[in-house]
Amino acid sequence: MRRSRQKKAAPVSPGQSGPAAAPLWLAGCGLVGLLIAVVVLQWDPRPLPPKISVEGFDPIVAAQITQAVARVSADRSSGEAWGNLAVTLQVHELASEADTCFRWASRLAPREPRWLYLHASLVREGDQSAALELLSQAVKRAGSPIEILSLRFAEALAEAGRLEEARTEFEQLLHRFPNQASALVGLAELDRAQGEPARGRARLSAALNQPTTARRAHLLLATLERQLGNAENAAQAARRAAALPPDTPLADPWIEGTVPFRIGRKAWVDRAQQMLAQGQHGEVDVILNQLLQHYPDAPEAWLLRGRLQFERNDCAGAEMPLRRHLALAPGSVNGHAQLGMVLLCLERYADAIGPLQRCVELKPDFAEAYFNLGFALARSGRGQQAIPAFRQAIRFSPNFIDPHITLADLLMQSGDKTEAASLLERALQLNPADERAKELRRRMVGP
Amino acid sequence: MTALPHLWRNLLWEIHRPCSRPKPAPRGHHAGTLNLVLCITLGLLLLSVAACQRAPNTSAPTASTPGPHVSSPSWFEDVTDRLGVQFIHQTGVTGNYLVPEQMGSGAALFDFDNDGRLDLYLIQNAGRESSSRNQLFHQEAAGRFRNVSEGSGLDVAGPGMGAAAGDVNNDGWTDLVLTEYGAVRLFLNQAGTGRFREVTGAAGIDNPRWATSAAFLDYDRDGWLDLVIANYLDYDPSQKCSDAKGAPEFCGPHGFPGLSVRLFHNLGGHISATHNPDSPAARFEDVTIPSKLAAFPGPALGVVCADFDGDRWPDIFLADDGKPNRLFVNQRDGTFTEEASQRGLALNALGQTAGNMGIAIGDLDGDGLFDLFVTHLSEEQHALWAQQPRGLFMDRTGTAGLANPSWRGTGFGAVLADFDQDGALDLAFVNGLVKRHAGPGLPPVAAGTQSFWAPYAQRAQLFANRGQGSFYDVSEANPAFCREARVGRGLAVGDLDNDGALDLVMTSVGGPVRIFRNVAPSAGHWLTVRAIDPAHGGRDAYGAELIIQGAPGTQRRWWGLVQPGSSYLCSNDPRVHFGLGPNPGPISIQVRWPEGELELFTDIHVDSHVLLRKGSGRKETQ
Repeated sequence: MRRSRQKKAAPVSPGQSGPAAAPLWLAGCGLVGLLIAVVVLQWDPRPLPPKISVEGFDPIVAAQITQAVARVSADRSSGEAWGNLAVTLQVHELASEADTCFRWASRLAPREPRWLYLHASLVREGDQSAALELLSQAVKRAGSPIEILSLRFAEALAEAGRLEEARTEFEQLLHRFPNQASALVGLAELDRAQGEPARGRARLSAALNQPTTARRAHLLLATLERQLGNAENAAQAARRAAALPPDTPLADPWIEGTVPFRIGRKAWVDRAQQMLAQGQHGEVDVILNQLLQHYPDAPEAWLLRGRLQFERNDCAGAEMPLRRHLALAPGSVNGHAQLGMVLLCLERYADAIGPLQRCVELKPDFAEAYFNLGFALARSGRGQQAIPAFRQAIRFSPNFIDPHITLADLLMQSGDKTEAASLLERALQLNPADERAKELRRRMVGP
Repeated sequence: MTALPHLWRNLLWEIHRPCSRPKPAPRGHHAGTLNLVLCITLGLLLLSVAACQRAPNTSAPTASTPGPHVSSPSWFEDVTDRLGVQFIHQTGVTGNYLVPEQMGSGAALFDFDNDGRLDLYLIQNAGRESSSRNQLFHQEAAGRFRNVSEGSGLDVAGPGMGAAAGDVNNDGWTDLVLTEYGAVRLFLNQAGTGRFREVTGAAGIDNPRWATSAAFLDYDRDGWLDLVIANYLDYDPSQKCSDAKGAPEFCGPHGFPGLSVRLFHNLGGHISATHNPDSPAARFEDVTIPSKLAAFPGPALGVVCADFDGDRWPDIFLADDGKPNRLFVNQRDGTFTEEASQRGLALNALGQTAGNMGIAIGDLDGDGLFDLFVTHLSEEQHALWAQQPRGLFMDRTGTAGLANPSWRGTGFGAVLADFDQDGALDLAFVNGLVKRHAGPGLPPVAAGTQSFWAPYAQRAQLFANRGQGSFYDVSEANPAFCREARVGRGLAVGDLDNDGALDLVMTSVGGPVRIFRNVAPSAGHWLTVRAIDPAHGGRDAYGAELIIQGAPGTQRRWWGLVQPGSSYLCSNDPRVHFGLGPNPGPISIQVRWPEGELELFTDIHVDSHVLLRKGSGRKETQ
């Protein structure tokens, strides 16, 4: 650098800096000064929002992105506006643009840990160490522990193999939030990794009955018991884990805060499916109303509407949306299958045969549809035609117990006791406690 | 000019900080120096304006530092063209976004004519009506491959996924199972004539679901190879998915239920031998239900069969996509119990599930117990489960240095093998996205990759073992294997040229197969072992465990397994390869045969290919 400057300075020799050169220098200085003044006056150091092409996006999403960009343009020094733009871009899978905006958001809101936390959730997919660093910064910013933030930071440390640091974080979290179940499980995982299974097992007791950790804690308990040489206890814990529903996600206000940003056809459909799986029918109803208002011809919306009614035991109310769905998407396997089920529910067995037959034409390995078809045929008095349908159901899904039993019943009625007995034996291998299979076997053997 | 808020002054300072301050001007150069200072200042201001419009680099150190050997010689060279293997994987009509299109296909390395050289079978995924058929390549004496597909019986078309090689009728000739979307097909080797006969139905094999990986094992130790099929999803082709912009995209696995694994028991020991060419010389029965495997369905992509609990009976491990893995532990009575969670293999260190796909098996730390590596999606970290003590596994990904590689891909085929013969198993895996690459920064896509698949392409990765089961990334030093992006799926390993160094075969979706010859400078001695049982037609003794004891007074051991089925959709060289480091031999090998007997083979010279026949060693007590 120094050499470079000397080179540039060299031409300015005493011979060149005579009286004739002075006005030229003065003019030059004036020009430069003018330029500086222009630059300074024009210069607005606040960042500009990124240029985002919304071409191809769902119009609702495009409008949302445009509005979020406009809010940033209106207040370019607002961390909140930048953060909201970042979240908008993140939920619509514009990761690199979201990354830029999160950086600005966390810089412009220097006391706010939320943007760092959400930024970490974005970059975690590609770069774990970057996510860890962001979480670390968020923890420092937060000052006093925030439950979800401390937990995620501790977990990220553990995942990176920084076990002692993870332990410290988990312990600090427990100090602030005693009996925090996820932290207890996290510590028990560390105990296991560090060769202290007994200590880990002792920690788990408080987490075994918490809805956010029960299943995970039982799974870990199974491992710890096995590590301690208690095979029967391990098997018992594993069986309990298998019988438990999935753990309820821990409340995460920052992630939940991003839900309203998830709008548009795809986001609403995804959300409705998620809520339907969780049995939150009221919320599904609201989402579907919104969806159908904006997209009246979206076949997936009508399918979900039909499914919702079916799950509400309103079979009659489910038929119309499903027929509407099939009118819009005649090749929908799921649509035909759902309509078939609804018609079975309405005891319109003969009507159910058509959609179910179409269903297995479209998806020839659909075991459940074969079973329903067999059931519809049998109830329509076409028992002999039902037999091959039940056989197909078993062929495609050997672990599906119902067709074993129903087919055995049909075969017994037609006098084929040998195959019926074999089917019942397999049904009882699948589930030794199945009362239907036991009853049929009793009937077969006779008094 | 209005006063800048405090924050902005900080920002300016930070951006200017790296620039050098002008030095004081010498006397007599005042005016020129002033001009220079003004110009520099102006330049800096203009630069600042530009820089301020860019996002700050708040934090984020980039990924992990490269390993210590990044400038070391490359381990592989691409010899595909030189060997005469021309094969481009086809997926049929693209643009329908049917998930099976993007999941295959694999390859099989096996010696179908017993000439001592590995041959190669490559699988297409373009549908039954396609003219793109699976290809069989025979390795000639000079090392080149000749396409012998036509008339071989293996040149079939279909939605092909993977293959498993094994001698199902104990006639000494390796047969082949082909997995497909909607089928499994069994081809019997016609005594090394280069012809195979399909006997699927007659042999009692019926697996009408989406079969992915498959493997042979002798689960009842009756001397006949049984067959386990990993089935994936109850996929609905009418279900459509889209990306954030509404453009069609492949669906993920979560909307579809998983399927039962299928187990076919080989009845070879229970039926009379026949020489009638019209009837199959192989017969199986489906024991999925009585074996109790049916009770635990799941979306399986990878399968490995080995003795996980140390009772000398083979168990079955399945890598499940987005669900907890399954480990079926053999109860020695024809049934299995599912024990993945008890043994620490169901979930990762945080108790989470992941997109488990390919499986690599090997002893990473020389304790005589095998460990497992399973590939995952790019948003997850791959998992390394270390075994210690026998039968219990611990997620050691973080401490093995694999938690945060320089970048993460969506991994499929994976191999643990000692490429540089230093005595420690290294790690190779192939990557390829299942959703289109978002954002800038696509790596160079390998020539021959169909344009439709280019956005899904990723580079393969290679990691060297430091010796105790911790790794460093040597991908940069291996451009032949790692530089170009492909939609990697299968990765098969074997010593193709019989030089004692393991070579690789990589398959990719919609792209050409690549063969990588190992050219790594050798860091030690090696040994390859073929373990056969003369009582079973001289076939490879699948399930046999081989242990080489290290120098006296050390705990160092080398563990090997005769089992070609691992990775993803692939069947590997059935011979067991050992890199022995500086160990000059001669050495002894303890073999635990699949039926449980122990034998010791002594005075074996290193740097050689060894054939071990059951019954010819010294019997040892259990």
